[in-house]
Amino acid sequence: MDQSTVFQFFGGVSQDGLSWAVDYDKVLYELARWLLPIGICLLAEGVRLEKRRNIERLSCYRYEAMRIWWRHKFGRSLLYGIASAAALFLIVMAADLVNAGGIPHETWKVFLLWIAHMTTILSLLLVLDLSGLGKFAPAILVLLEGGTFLAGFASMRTARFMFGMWGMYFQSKWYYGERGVSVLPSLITEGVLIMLAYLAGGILLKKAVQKSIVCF
Amino acid sequence: MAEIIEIENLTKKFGDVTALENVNLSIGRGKIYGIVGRNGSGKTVLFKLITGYLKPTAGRVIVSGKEIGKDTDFAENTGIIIENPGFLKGYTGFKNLAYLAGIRNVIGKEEIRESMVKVGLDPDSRKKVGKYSLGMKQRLGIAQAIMENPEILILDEPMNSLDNQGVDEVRGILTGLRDEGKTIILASHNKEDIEILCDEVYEMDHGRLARHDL
Repeated sequence: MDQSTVFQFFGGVSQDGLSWAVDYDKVLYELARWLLPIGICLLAEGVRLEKRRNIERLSCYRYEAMRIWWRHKFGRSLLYGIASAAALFLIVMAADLVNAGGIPHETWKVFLLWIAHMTTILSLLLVLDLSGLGKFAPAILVLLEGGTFLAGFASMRTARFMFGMWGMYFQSKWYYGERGVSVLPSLITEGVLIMLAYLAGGILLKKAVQKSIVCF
Repeated sequence: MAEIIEIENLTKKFGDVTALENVNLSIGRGKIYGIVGRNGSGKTVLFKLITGYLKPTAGRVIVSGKEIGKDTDFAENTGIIIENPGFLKGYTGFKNLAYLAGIRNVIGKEEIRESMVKVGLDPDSRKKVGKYSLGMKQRLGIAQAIMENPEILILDEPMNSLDNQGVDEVRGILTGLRDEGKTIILASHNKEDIEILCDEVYEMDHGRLARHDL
């Protein structure tokens, strides 16, 4: 299973026999490998948002209500982001199929956790974009992901509360058994975070218009 | 004549800086109103407040009977150019307009083509907007403002970057729209535009608005 490229890039960091004090270089290597596809998706969505910023001034007033514009922007951006995250996953999966002639049975679990986690990260990207931190948002999110993972890895007691753990199949109960992070609660929490991001965006948007820092 | 836009005691502050101070203005239907003033005098801020891109610190703007920021977020049935119009650089002019028109969905391809032809752009051109000259982008900006046949046009420096022929064409379009009963508010640095086009002119100076005799 660990030969699978999909698991290497989208499964996260495995805990098997690793100790932070001894194997920190291996942990960091696996973390960097996990952050790579996240960074690619964030960059792609960041560039797309930046390109569209130009036309937002001409498009937003046509929605007539700011909340409708935000709903469209949020929905469309998440769809594009999820599509590019899924495409990246499928490309790597296709490479696995060609190289190994098959894919591990557990791949769908990796896919589900990755897509749910990427959707959450992308919704946070959209909120950060509204807050005027647009250009720094991808870097902030990669740091959040990496930082919270390391905090969770260092202390298993807090691992389940750490955002950076929730998308990793190798840290979940599906792979790690009882010591892993529960899948359903983490998926529900991510769903709640996405909803909160949507609501926070609506509030932020009003403040942003007041300060004229949004696309207008 | 019923007023289509009412601006009452409008003030906008950015921190300690007052960009607009106690502006009052009534805009009637079927006229072209000119706003003149130096750079930084507050013209664009006034336009952004009328359209809903900015919220006022005090006062209110009522467009077509609806208070901006209270009854509606953005001015309805309005075509807008504020500052340099931005487009998707990788799309053709037609595709950009089709994308924008798809939001309200009140016009079809034919109206988009007509508006492009009106401003002197070829709707069949495969040229991407990224390759457009400044004048062509400005023409496209005007096309997007007029394509949905809005009742009100708010145009901040619409003649920017246009050559003489373009200026004449846009002047013709604007007077034609005025004759159709549309209301146009435009800001321009060009004295000739103001003298030729405008029925009423106001001067903005340090955030204050005053009637300006032609």
